[in-house]
Amino acid sequence: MSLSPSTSKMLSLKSSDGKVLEVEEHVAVLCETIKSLVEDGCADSPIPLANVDGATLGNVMEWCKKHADQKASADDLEDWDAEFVERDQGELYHLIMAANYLNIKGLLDLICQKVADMIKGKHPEKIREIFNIENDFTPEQQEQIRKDNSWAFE
Amino acid sequence: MNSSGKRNLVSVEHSPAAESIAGNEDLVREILLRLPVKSLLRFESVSKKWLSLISDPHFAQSYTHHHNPNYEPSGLLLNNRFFRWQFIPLDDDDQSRVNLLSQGSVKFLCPDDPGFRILQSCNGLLLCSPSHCKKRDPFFDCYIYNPTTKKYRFHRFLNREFGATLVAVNMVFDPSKSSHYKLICIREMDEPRSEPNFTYRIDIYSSETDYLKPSSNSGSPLTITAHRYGIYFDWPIYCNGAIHWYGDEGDTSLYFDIDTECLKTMPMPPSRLRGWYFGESRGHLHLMVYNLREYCPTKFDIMELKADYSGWFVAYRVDLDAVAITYPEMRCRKYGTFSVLCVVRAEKEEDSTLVICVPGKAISFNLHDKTWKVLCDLVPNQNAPATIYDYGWFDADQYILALCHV
Repeated sequence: MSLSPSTSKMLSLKSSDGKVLEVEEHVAVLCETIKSLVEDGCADSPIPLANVDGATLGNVMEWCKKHADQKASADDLEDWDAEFVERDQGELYHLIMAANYLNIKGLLDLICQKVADMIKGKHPEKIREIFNIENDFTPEQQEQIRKDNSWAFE
Repeated sequence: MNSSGKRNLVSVEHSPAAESIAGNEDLVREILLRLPVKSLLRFESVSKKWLSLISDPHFAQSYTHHHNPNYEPSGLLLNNRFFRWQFIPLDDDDQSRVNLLSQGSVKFLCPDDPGFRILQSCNGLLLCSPSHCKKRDPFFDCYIYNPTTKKYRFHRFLNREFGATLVAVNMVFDPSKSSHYKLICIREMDEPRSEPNFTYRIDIYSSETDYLKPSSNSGSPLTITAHRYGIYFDWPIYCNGAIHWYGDEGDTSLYFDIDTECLKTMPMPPSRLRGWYFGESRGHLHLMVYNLREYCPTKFDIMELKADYSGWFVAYRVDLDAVAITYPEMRCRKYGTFSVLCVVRAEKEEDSTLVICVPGKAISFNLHDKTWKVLCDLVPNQNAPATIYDYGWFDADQYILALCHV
């Protein structure tokens, strides 16, 4: 039994790989998706989150817990966020998908900025590799676009 | 392996989650929004989908909203004699915007760059005219240039058309209303002529329709009758949906509402000596005015036009004596040896500044706490009469970061 003075109700969240996570309600409702379930009274049983795996859900809730903390100052959160995004690319991509699915704007902004910082300045070929995108331009089209933006390749 | 073919090797960095992101347009857009312009333009060549996302006018608007929501100038571009320009940085504190700017130098990338004169700046677009363009040429050539993307579009107008001679071309670009721009052509009619007054007609080109049409008042082309040198059609100020033309003392100033195509007169402050500044900042129209009774070159008012155009009020009482201690030549001669280049209203009113030019320096003067600092050294303007000042407000155009496709 928790000794925390918080009277927040606990919610259980079930990840895509079947892991169940107990989270305080005031933390979990940072996810707009969960918030609307709670508001509609549909959040009794473990809430199934079919698009989020257990490890990612753990990371997401770690972020929510920090950001639900009323005592954390803006500077404190900024430093904490900077450390939070220091993780490998795969985890970041999973976090983006989860933040999008759970509709957590603050987390989505944070990770998108991190990914943008990571990919900026890279060659288009590298971008295609990272995101597994097919190059559907003809060499002529490719050349033309590059000519139009020649300064961007300097 | 064929570089344009679907790759079957899984790279070290590739993850299925990254692929899911690439498949979600909203997420790709969220990431693209946060990239510097240079990377953004690079990534136009990633795929057709990325190209269409980046070149979408709505995306351009969101991008500007993310990086520069109020279309604040990051600097001023100063024209000088050799059709070259100098950049005066304004926001050295704002690292993010400076970083975006410093990624590409502020220069034209037109083929065989012959030098340009900037005619006007409007919400991130510049209207420029090549140095070889002369009044007597059959054509007036100009470029609409976006310094953020370094892309431009060429326009050519006939100097003589409709029984009239082209006097000026003005640009209107208001992304809050449209992602397209308009060019306002002002022509002096051959007839009727009753000196010293002249009749002008206005035609409007729209980049949306790619068509030049006469501005009309009940069917017939709109005409204005005004003193020939009384209205400065060459120095248009766009503010709150209208182009404003400064009129000399004794004459009326005019403004032209773009949506309604209505031409109206606006009052000017009476019986006071106007200084040499007329400009816009954050939707406020400003005018520099001296008090004749206690005239002193370094003391003047910045007046602001009332929103209902009924008159002007004093927005700032300016006293530049603190600067003149260091640059005593500012007090010399009738008008002083300095000029106001720009009034820059800030998001926080206490950060609003006046950018002035003293011999060899651009200076920022805080309108509230009266502190000042040198922004940069200026190269001499060999075009200006050395007796007055190097540059005037009409030589300075706002440099605004904005993604817009021209």
